Amino acid sequence: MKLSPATKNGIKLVTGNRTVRACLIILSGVLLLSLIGPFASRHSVEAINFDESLISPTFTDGRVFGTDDLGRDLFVRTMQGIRLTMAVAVVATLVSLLIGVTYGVIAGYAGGKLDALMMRLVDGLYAMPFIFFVILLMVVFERSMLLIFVAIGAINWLDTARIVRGQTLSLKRRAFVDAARLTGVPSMRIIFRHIVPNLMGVVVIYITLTIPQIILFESFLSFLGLGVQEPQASLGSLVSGGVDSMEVAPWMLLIPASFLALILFCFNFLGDGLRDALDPRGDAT
Amino acid sequence: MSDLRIRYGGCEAPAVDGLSFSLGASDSLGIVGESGAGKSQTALAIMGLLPDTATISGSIKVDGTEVVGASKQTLRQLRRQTLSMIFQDPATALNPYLRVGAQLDKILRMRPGMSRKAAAQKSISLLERVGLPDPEKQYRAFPHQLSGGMRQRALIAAALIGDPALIVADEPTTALDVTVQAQILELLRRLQSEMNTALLMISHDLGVISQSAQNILVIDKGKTIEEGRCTEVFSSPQHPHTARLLEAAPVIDAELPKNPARSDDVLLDVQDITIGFRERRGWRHRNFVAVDSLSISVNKGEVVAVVGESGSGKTSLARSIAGLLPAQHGKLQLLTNRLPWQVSERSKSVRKLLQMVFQDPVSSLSPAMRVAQILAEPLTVHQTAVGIDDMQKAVADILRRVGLDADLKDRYPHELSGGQAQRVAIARALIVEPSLLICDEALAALDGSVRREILALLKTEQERSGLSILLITHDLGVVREISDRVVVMFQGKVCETATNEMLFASPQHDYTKKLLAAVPRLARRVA
Amino acid sequence: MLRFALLRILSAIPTLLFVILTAFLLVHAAPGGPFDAERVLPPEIEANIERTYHLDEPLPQQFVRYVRGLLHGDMGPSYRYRSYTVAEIIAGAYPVSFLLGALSLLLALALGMFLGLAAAIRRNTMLDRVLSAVAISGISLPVFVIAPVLVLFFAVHLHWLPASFASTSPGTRFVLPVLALALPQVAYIARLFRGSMIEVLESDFIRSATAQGLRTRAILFHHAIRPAVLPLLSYLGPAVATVLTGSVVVEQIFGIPGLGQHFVSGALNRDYTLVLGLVIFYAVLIITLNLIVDLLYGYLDPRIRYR
Repeated sequence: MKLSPATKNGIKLVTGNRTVRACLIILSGVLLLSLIGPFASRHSVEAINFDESLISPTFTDGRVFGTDDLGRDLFVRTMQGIRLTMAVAVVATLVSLLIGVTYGVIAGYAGGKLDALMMRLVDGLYAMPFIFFVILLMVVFERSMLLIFVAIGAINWLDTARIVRGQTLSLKRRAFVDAARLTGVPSMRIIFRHIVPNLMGVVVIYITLTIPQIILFESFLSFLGLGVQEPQASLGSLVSGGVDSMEVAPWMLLIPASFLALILFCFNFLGDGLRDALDPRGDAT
Repeated sequence: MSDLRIRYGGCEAPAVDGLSFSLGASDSLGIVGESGAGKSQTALAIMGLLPDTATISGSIKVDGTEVVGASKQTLRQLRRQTLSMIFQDPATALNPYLRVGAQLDKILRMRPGMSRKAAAQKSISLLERVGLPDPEKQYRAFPHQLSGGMRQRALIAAALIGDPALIVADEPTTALDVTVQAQILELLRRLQSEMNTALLMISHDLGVISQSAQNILVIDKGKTIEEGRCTEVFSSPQHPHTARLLEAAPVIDAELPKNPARSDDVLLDVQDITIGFRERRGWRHRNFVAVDSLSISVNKGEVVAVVGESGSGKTSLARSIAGLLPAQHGKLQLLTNRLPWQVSERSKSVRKLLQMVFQDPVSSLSPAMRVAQILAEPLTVHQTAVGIDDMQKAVADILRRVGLDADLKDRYPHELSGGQAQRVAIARALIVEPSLLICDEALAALDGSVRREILALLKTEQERSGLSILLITHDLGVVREISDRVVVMFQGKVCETATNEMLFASPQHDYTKKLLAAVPRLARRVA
Repeated sequence: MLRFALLRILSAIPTLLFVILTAFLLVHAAPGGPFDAERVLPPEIEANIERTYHLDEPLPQQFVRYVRGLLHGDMGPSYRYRSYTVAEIIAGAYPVSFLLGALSLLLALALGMFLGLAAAIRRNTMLDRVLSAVAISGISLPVFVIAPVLVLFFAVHLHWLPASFASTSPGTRFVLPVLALALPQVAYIARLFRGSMIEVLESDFIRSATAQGLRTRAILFHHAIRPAVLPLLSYLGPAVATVLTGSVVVEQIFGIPGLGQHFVSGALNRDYTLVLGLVIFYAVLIITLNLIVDLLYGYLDPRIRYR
């Protein structure tokens, strides 16, 4: 049994490209740590204890990351923040992908007036200051995690839609689609058998490029105090808390900030590596 | 100019492997070979334009100056004064963001003492010299406002600056239509004799070489396999590969094909078809007519060729008949069925009768599907084969019929060669046993010898099953070898319909005559 | 060209109206009135307030009133700072924000293009690799991480520069905010410019220019610069949007009394008219800039201009 080119490429990428491999390992390590870390610690997320506030990182008593100004354990809070950040990222990315790919495939395959209309709409939406709209949304409605997921996902689909539409359009012009139509293959089958499988490469790249954008956005909101609410924590809200007390407790800033930067690094490198590897013209460094 | 010796090792197989030749001042040499033979690499090496990834060894001397390993300054001096190059694709070789004149001026302005005004004047006179009409207008034009032939002329003008001792022309006419090609070759010949320049002509087309060079060098896999005077090589090739190349070159004086399957019953009848596009130019909409009330018919078992240059509307016609491009007006009848314009409105049984083979073999196969899946899809849709066993048998049969190994069925399209991929595409069309096969430039993307094989396959299949073929092509050689009847198209209209024999023996229409005259012929020594 | 420009300008109007309408509806779809958070008011006072703010009118009428006001530069009174109008608040705050944003963008463009060009012409050398790695790192660092880290290092640790905008020296107080805002953009622009420059340098017309014996400098600045700048130009719209959002954070961290701070405090205080006004202000800014970018694009690419 021979593997499909997409699968084979995927395997080759993961094993072949050093950057991609390193990023995947680091990301899964961080994720794993955030999932099991809190169970290994004796401290809870919410327990406030003013007697133990602002302990700098130490190995005694399991306070590896120290505590914050309210005496909460920073290790557990950071791990919880990573989980939340990643969860928002994954769900919002799926939302954005679902909208983007569907929109792009429909516009690209339909072509003509519908396509022109749909793309004019996207152009128009590009010019909107979305971040401010989401903030407006957060102001007007009760803040909820669900709203954050959906709002962030719903504004990040424009790039995906554009690229998917472009790819669909160019695939549709290729002769194999004509050949299938001539034979009498139904449209739905053409879309799912001939077009969608060839979009996978682009979609994978866009997943890795969308995730860091969404992480950035969520932490931006949380930093401003418009995202997740206490006692829940995301990396953004932890950085925000760290800024307030960075002069007395720099670890409160530096630890969550480093994790945030590390995760963003890895996703960006991953997306970059994948794009280079999937693009035949890409320069191999 | 003497002793050009190139050798460079690439990654696995060297692109050019110990090639040596010399070219005297004001001589002309043609290098011919199939794609991947190392022709273009040689041209780039002479210009010192190889990418950094290539390693080059050996020696290239131009007018006594060594090119291999030369410093940037030396190369720049050479390119300004001694060497010029004309590239294959005039559409991309000019900077689309700058006016033609500005590009020429920039080259001229590098010369000492050339004022802005003098440069502009010189540019316009150069444009005039290469035969561009209204040179002042072209001087101010952007490249996208020029036609392909005009752009190539502008590039030739750029190559003339500095009175080069050698012009390297890398497939300068491949992207152009045959009548434009004839004009450009004529221009190159004229300029070469006027300026006493040496010309290195690189082409895959023996006819082009024959028209533009006295000597020829045949290369294959980076090695010289034969060299000599054109006339001699063409009449008595020494190396078997050269003989194969010569044989593969479709020639318009080939023997007439025999077609026992031809009948007088009409299969396809196209009446008064008009195909137009709404084209957006700026903010105005303009109607552009690709095919203008044209009628054409194909008999059972007949091979009808539609010839024309780019923009003649031949592809629009083919796509319209296939149901991929709706026409505005006209009637389409296949046997007793009146065909709707949209393929989606045609019944399955009608769709089966009409299949198509496309120009680019790679893009005509779905990249994510295996050969077996590609071939089985029509069977599933038409339910001609039921069950896995039937299906597998049908796939194996058709592969054998188109001359492919059964093992190929598990391959993906990108794992096939161009010829294999085109065979699969033909197999997909034939598997539903159509009565009419439309071949839209199906041979244009293939190398000489492969083209020959595919042509032979089409011929065999056509005779075997009494298939009718509507062959869309720009290549008169192909027309000569396979067709029964020829339709010549020009600007959306039929200008001549004739039997194969009559067309070549006594063309009636002026355009047909022009077209025939433009086909580069091999100059053979009369034996 | 004139026709092209006019059409572009006309097509921006529906977008603008759409933005205003969406923002307006969002605000008015808010559950409860704007003054619900305060103590319960007697009904007659509430009706009185509603009348002064025209909240008793039907929604379409309110919208028309609002848009008409906008045309005169009137965005209504602030719900929170009752003695000020939204327009007054914006007028007072925008100069400092504008200066901050413009300086950052200029710095980002100059430095980014310089580094990108350097990496592109020294492709696959050590310099290129280091620059590329630094660029990805730069993109990955959010402004709200860069800014406090810069403060921690240069202000708290080294005492070179002031940590807060409220400090006395007017010259140095802009350094850290501008740097924090510009650095991610420098990285992004450098990467983008490197990529587009390399793509252009590999194109056929550059090869033919080389074959024509042109000097490297002539090739770069005569032939390559225009097509290489185009992708940068289309990034300028998003870049402005990013700098705007970034400035919200930076103003917060450095305590700069600009638009961003009003935006955040308005958002946290539920000052609907202020937030609405600011969203529209930002939208107009971004749409206008996109328009300018489009026009420039048409100017630089002859294939769009003449067809």
